[in-house]
Amino acid sequence: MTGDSRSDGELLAGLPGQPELMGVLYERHAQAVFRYLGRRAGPAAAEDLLSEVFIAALSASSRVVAHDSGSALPWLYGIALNVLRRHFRQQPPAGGVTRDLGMDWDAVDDRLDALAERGRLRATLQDLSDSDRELLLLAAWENLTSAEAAAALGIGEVAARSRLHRARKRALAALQRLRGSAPGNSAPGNSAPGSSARASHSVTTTLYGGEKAS
Amino acid sequence: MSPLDDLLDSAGRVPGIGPDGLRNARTALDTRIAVAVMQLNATADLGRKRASRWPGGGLSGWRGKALAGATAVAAAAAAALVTVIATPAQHAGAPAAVSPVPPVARIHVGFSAPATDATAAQLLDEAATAAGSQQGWPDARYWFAQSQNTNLLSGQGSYSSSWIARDGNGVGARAGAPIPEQATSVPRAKDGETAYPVIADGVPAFYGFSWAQLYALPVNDTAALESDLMSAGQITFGPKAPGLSGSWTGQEDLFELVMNLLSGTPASPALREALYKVAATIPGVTVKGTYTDSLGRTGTALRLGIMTMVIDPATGQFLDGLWAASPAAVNCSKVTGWCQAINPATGKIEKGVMLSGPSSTLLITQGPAAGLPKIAG
Repeated sequence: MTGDSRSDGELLAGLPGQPELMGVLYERHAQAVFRYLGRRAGPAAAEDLLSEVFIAALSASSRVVAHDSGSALPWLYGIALNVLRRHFRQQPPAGGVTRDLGMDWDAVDDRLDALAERGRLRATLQDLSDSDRELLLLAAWENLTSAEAAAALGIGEVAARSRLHRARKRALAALQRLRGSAPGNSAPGNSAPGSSARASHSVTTTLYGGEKAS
Repeated sequence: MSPLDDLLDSAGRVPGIGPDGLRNARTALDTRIAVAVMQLNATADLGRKRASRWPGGGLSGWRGKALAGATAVAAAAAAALVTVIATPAQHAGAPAAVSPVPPVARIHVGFSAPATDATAAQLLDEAATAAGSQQGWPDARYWFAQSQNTNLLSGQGSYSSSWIARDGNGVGARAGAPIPEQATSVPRAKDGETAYPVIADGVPAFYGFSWAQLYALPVNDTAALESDLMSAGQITFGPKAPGLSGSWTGQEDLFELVMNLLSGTPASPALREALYKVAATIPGVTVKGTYTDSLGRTGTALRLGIMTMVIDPATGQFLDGLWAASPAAVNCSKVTGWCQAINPATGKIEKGVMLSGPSSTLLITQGPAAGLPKIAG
């Protein structure tokens, strides 16, 4: 299956009459989709959700047109985002903390091993709208072009380019402010080591909850 | 790189998925792909099969059959084993025609005098030896089983196939068409088959055992195996309901579980050998005679209580399991319909004893499968 020479576009075009082509797309893109899920939900949930993404893609495949870039990944990431949102909606609400339907921040923090970094990415990105944040992360984490990210999120390419630019500027400014006002590990440092990352989220929310347009 | 890129980079580093996870997700996907393929096929076809025509559904019909002689409690337990989702493949208004199946009336289904004077224990030991001691298919991706379901009164019937994956989920397909190619390596669904996903729902798929648990059973220690089977039987069948199965004993439970595990599960040859050995130790098993099934196959019928196991001792192959509806029925030579017989429990003549349900489910073939069915054409 991995040796299939057909392009993603050809496979997508053939899907409505040949569902088995989804197996070829799986062999080609399962790792990338797994990493996408893992970055946002952690490795355990990613393993559970991987098949769901491709199964959901199977039932959606009658409506698919190949992306201009020739990759099926933007489309698969768009489906993965929907699967993630459903997954997060089904999670029991964490005490007092508003659920984020696109991200498990504890899973993100688990990868930021330095205590000083915990909560920092969330604080950096928290002023962005959900879709702007996703746009930024699709570019940074999944290496999508702005056009591909636009396709994944169902927005126009031109709008995506300018929104991505603004999102980066805004995130960078937030990060610099975060470093300036809270040098070292003081942002999450109000919590003793070992306390939950969620506690540090509420601290940063208080500090940076306002509008920070650059 | 900007500090933002540094932060994104360190927060975005995640490991890839391992080979097991990759394979498991692929198996789950393949199940749905097979369903989608068969639904496409069914849509192109007349869509004449109504999924609801096959009550019970199930893996291969064996479970439903076991229920004929089991208790109401067992029925509830077994019903929970498998959830079958019928596919809405049929077109509204399409006639619910049933494809012709070769009538079974020309074959005399029933018992004749035994062709041997060997005892049941000797025949079961012979079957054990023939079953072999190979390790089997611990790593196969699917277990394929195909059976024929026939209404013995009307002669109409259908065929069913199932592909059960390691996690217990799988695909089932039913058709009224003649028997498809009896190949286990490349199962092939035919036009007109109705496919449905089989969802294990977290319950071990094979009569209370998961695939891995079947391979963990002690095949070299008959007593230990018997003990494991009995404790599993308690879970599978639950406490016996009074009345319905008054003659049941622990030994009959054991006999039934042996029959179940020999039919439609990925039990290894080594486990089959051990199961026959366990059955050979069960007291009270008698040789009923030579049994001819509705396919015209003959085998040796071994009986305990209301249950009859039909096997070919020379090959170790399990052919059929029959459940009588009442203890009195075991004294009849016919297999189905009504007869008059003495109920051993009461000593009275009973009329209108149903020997077994009016339907028969024969195991035609089973074996490991590498993949899900491919659609012809």
